[in-house]
Amino acid sequence: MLAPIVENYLGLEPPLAGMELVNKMVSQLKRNELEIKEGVKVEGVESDGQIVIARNKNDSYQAKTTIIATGRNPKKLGFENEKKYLGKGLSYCSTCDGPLFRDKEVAIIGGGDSGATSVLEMEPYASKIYWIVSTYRATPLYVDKIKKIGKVEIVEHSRAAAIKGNDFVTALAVKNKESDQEKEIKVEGIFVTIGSVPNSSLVENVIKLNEREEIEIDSDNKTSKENIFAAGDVTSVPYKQLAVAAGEGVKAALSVYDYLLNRE
Amino acid sequence: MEHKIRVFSTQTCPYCITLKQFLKENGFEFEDIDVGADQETAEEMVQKSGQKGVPVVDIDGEIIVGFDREKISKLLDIKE
Repeated sequence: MLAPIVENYLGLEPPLAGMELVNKMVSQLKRNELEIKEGVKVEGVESDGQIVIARNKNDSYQAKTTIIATGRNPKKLGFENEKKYLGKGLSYCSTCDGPLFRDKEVAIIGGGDSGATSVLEMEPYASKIYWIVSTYRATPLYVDKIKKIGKVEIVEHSRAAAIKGNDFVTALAVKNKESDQEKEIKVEGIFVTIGSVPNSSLVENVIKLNEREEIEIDSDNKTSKENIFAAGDVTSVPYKQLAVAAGEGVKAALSVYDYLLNRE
Repeated sequence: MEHKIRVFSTQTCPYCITLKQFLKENGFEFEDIDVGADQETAEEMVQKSGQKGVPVVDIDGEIIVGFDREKISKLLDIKE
């Protein structure tokens, strides 16, 4: 949903923004008269192997089976003051908040494709961009493009060490992992793009998770519990891409269909 | 009851789009302020909300940060 542009989903020509694609999917579902309960945050899931119950603070929903497709959330830095600065110069979404940092100096943490695309997104807005890269994992094409942008300074072999500020962010301390030296970079914005974690806490005591806290599934999207299925980025599927997640969703739905047909 | 609604957003923010859609689907008119384009309104938003994230919605003077569906529905008496 947050992707500024989706270019790796076959048939999307011209490419769409993530949100536009989501809207089209929702329209299609509504046209097929699927009831969508919007704004409901499920806070607990339980199953006795026959009935699944999904609960939130006001309601519960019962069904014979369920598909967990809760995706992933941005990985946090893990600093004590991280929550304090969220929205006060710290953001996990350059697509959302980037334009607010027009003519400001910002740091983007993370050497993967998310970090690289954030740098490219911020180019029209920020006056200076520090790209904090511990290890380059981004597509080389992106890295080559970024290296040609004059206002970008790549801080290599480095990790974020601390967020500094008063009411709002004023600086980011970074540590070079080779020299062990720390330095402070004055910035008004910090974008954290260091990867993601599966959104599996809802079912952590209900079904088996792997060492990365992803839901373990088999080739039919079955989990360790007979009547719970899972699909997409929250699972152990090795490739976390939109087209893969969509295909996994279809597989899970077909598996559920078979399960319900054969269930006593 | 008439409400004065102002939405501070950026053009690229997906949550902002969802919030505005939600208001439109429920028949509410609002002032759509692009804080990415206008530094003055960006500063107004930061002063009112105490933070720099979008969306921010001002409903009759009450400030809500983010698309807090429950809070917005309560203020606008939207039954879902």
